[in-house]
Amino acid sequence: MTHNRQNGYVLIAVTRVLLLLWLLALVVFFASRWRMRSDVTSDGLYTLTGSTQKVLSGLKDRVLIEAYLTPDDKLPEAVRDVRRMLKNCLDEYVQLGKGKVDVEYLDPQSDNAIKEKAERLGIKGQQLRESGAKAFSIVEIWQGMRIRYGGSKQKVIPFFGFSPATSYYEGLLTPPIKELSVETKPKIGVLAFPTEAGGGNPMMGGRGGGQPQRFDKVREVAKGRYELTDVDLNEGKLVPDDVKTLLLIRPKNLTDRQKYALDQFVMRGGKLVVFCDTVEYQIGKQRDLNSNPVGYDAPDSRLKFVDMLAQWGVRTDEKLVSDGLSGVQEQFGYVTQGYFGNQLAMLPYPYCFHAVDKDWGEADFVKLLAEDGADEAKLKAYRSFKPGIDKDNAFLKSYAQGLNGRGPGMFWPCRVELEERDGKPTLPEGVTGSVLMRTSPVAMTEPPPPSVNPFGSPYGTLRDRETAIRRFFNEYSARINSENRQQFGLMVGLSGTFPSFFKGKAIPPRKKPEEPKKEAGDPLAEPIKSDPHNADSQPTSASQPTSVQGPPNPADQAAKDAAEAKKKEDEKDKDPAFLEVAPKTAQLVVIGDSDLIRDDLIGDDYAQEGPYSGQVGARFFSGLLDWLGEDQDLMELTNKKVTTRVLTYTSQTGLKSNQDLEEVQRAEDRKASRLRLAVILGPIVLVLGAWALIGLSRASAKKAFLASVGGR
Amino acid sequence: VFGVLFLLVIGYLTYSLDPNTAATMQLFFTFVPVLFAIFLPALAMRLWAEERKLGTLELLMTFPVTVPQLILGKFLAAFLLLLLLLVLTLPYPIVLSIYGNLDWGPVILGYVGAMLLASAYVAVGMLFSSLTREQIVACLLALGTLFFLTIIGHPAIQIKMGEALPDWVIAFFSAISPFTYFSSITTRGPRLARRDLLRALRGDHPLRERARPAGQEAQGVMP
Repeated sequence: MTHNRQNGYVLIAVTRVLLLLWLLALVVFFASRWRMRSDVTSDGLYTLTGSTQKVLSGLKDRVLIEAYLTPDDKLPEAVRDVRRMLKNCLDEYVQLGKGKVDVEYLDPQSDNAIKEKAERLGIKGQQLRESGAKAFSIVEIWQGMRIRYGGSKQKVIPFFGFSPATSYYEGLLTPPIKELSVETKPKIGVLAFPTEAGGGNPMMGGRGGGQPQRFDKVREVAKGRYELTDVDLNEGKLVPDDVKTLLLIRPKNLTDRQKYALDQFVMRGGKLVVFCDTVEYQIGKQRDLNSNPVGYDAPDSRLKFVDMLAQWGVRTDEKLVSDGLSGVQEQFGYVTQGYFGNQLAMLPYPYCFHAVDKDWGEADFVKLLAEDGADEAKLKAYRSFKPGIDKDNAFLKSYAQGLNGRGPGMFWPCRVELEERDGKPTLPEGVTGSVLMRTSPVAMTEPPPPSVNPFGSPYGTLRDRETAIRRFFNEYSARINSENRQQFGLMVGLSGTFPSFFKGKAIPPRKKPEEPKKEAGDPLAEPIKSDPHNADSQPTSASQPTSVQGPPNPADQAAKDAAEAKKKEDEKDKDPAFLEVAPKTAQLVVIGDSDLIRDDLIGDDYAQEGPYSGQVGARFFSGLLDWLGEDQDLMELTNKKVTTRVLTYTSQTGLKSNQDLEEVQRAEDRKASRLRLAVILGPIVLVLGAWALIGLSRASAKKAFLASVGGR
Repeated sequence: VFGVLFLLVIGYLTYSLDPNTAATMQLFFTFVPVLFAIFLPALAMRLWAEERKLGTLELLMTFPVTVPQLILGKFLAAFLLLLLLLVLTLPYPIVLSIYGNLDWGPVILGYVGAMLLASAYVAVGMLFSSLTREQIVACLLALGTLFFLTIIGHPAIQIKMGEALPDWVIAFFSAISPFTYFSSITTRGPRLARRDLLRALRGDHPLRERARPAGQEAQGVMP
């Protein structure tokens, strides 16, 4: 009986355990089948942006990402963990691709056939220095990708870096996928005028020194996703209808007819981007930096381009802008005399600078001024300074977050503002706009100096160079210190229904190529010329009624055909109806510099320029096109916000100007150390205190008990 | 003593407030599984083994409570003590957030993960405590098991093991290690799913890519 009961207990226990295991197996099975993922980081660090989601959801064909990667176990320890982020990111692509995206991992270091294939594709291993316990060693790292779309199109990324941020890999992957999957590229018109003065600098290994510069390299950057087409406005032509965005780069010698073409392009709702330059400084073989004025208008032009911009609400002038704040300036390299002989030094240069993401109304120097008891009027003016970059703008937002908050480098820029009266913008009715980039308040404008070369004669000695630099900066300081502190606009953006500049003005006629002069003959035999502007205003000789009877004469038939063809040609050349006001919203962006996208600067072929990277200008150009609505899918990609989460104990604005930074750092270290000790020991003291209290309480209870039972 | 030692070790090893470094609790949550594996057996060893050794288990069984209630009671006692210790580490993220704009989402999820991990480890500790009369034996058995289960899920250890063991063994270790799941919560580590297991069985484990023969890759046509 007892034995049977025991057997029953065992059976029940075994059954329960088996049931439990079965239940657990079910949970594991369903959990692995339906995965739920959640990104709880406030910045959505591990979530692919809406841009990528849009691109992947629009895929019509399959994408295969071939990842040529060094295996994790062969990676240096420092980057091994970071590799996981790449794989997570690729996994996200697969998940979001819903069967349209697949990833294949290939190891070129273990299989020669794979290695050879990778090399054929242009993917190559890079040497990486690894610091071991005792010595440094060099390891070869492969980290490249081939993205294939639909079996026929492909894009290769030869090598990319390691980053703990998903956004880095997203920025690498999504644009090529978009580029491969797009069926028709948006068409963007380009009307660019090359520089006349030279660029580049052969002195320090640059190429193309002294040669006029074009704007082709940025086009290379953007050509994957856009069709950039040259727009010809000569011979009275208008902007083609299929061009919705027009880039007018460094306008020069514009005729009235060309201005009319631009005007009507805006009136038709086009997006016009103007890269202005009032003056260009040649970077000759000896880096002379002598000025060469850029005239916007052709010599025989009656109408001024700046007046046309003013009609639309943009004010620009012929002055040169410079920024005296060294923190925002670009640097020039130059050779100087050091302790160990000649060495390269860096010189901040006020005519090349960046707009930066800083609210200048809240800048440290304004606060210090307030503490020092500056006069109220001055302080009020200082507090009205605006941020250097308009962070509300979807395009420029990304500059505020990355690149140390710096906008693109501006080289010898000119001023671009909104038309205003009494400090308030006076824009045409139906138009809104804002200044998108500004200088720091330590800026000034001046008529373009004949030379902005701080280095003096290239034939002088190093001492002469030092003297020239001192003189240049002394003179510059004297000029800027005599000015009131003020900011100047560098880029404006407007949109709305712009009024035509040609309203109430004579419309410039088309200029047709001159017809070859005919020999003098019977004047009655000459055809009647039509009005060049209004082709069908007068009847042509071919359109005269005829009263010929009988079978058609072959000669007459030929003349009739020719007349028909001419009529068709005239119809084609006829201007569309003149628009006085844009019936639909147009967009106008004016940037006070074109050098930032010049070939020599984009290609980093601008020797001695210090840390400036031309890629910033290229990125600016590419982002600008995306912003203009041609490819808003990718805007979110560049604007992903990542909050800085760094431990700081001293507010930067709380620093006094005369405080020793090393001392501040030491104080911070001391504070951190004390705080850490308190945070670690605090809970321990609490536990020990509670322990002591419980012990005392127990002792007292024991004592009370013993007393109650008559013990001691 | 257990609590003081735990707080001292975890605070000393994982907590940093160095200026200009990232305000994150990632290191803390990386160490939590290992420290739990070391400290929890000491806490759980007494739960049943001591009762059996002192002969108080029989007395306990005479109380008007059922066996599941007893088990649950002992489990909760150990679990709540651990929970209290985790609560005592809350000043760490609070101070970080004051001086460094801490992202609370992963931290809260990390604590939730640590609670779940603690409950699993307490259960394992209780199992070994119930198997023997000797506390020290129960402690060593639990320590060995938990430590083994923890480290076999660590990517660095898996890479080392991968040099000697077949992929499916590595995948199996990943599947049974609590570290795999805990790290996927706190640091978004490798998530192991059925798909990954199948890939591993095909010789394509995500944690350890092996070179494929060139002939196997897609040539010209999408797979």
